[in-house]
Amino acid sequence: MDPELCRRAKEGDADAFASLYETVSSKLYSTAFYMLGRKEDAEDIVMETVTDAFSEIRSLREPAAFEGWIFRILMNKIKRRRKSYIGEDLELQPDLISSDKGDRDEAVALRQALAELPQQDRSILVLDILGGYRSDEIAGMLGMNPNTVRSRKVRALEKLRRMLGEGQYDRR
Amino acid sequence: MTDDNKAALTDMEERLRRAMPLIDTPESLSPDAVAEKLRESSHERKTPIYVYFRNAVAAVLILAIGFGAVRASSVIFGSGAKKADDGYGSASYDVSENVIAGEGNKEEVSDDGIPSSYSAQSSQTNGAVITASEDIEIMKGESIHLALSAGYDGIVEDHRSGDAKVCAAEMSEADDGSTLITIEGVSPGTAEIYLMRDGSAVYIIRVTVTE
Repeated sequence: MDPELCRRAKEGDADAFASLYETVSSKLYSTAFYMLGRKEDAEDIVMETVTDAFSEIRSLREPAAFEGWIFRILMNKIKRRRKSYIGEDLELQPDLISSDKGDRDEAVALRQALAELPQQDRSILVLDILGGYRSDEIAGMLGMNPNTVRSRKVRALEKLRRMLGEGQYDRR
Repeated sequence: MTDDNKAALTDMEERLRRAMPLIDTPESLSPDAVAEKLRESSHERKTPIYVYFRNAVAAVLILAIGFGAVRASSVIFGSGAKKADDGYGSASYDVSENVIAGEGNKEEVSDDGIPSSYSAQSSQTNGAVITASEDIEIMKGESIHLALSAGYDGIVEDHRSGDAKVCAAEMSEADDGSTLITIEGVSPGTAEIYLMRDGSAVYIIRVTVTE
């Protein structure tokens, strides 16, 4: 992360902050979308995250930690937003995935199964698979022990396999 | 884990990777749109100083009339260890807060980037003025530690699940001289812990212990 951009962002330069944000914008939005399942909520949460991060960036000591820092803010906001979903089914929006029929059905089935995992397991898989973060980085974002992240990831993958293998989802 | 199992998990990861491609951000979240939004919000924040002064005076008057007393704000922050939900490993626990006196909610993003939401309120409890509160959920058998920056001279526990002891709380001094409070989940239920200063409860921690 560019220390100069970070310094300018800390001084309130919105353009400098936007340049920092640009490096993670797609990951932030995709993570929010796969965690929440709704484009509108993902947009809201990312904008809230960005606004909070901009107003709090003075507290960020190491520019290199920007990505992990802003993801922690995002994940906490997602956690809180998910609580308001209790009792509601996730709305899946398959229009954002491959147009190939086979891939599309597979993706819908996988995302349905993913939506049924406990939130922490889902967070780990999304950050690992989508963000490509290491377990220690995910641990930092979620406030967990890296060993726990690793063990939960394995169990979450096994759980997904069982869910799909049991024919619980129509994979046509 | 057998090689077959490892291969199956790797396959599942690959399938997930295909099912969850990176999505382009919508126009409303483009860097330009975000910069514009941030500039607008910065501009909106430039409220004339007299407005802050007027609001502060009004808030103090309301609190003083409503509760008879207003205590100075306090600060609580700290870190500790917390078992993961399934009992495997541990997860860190961090809170950081500049507690405000008065009714309402305050959302903070701490130094380490963890946003924490706390409610801060003034109310009369057994004649004491509570200026702030925090809700904590821990598992039975789990302990958390909070470092308190403000000076508290004691704690009072109030268990609300019949006679069962819900949690145990203990104050101690950390190596750096700050005050630590350790809360251990004993049995499922809810309890309240009051942090005392000069004989009054000034901070309330509502503890929910789960199985």
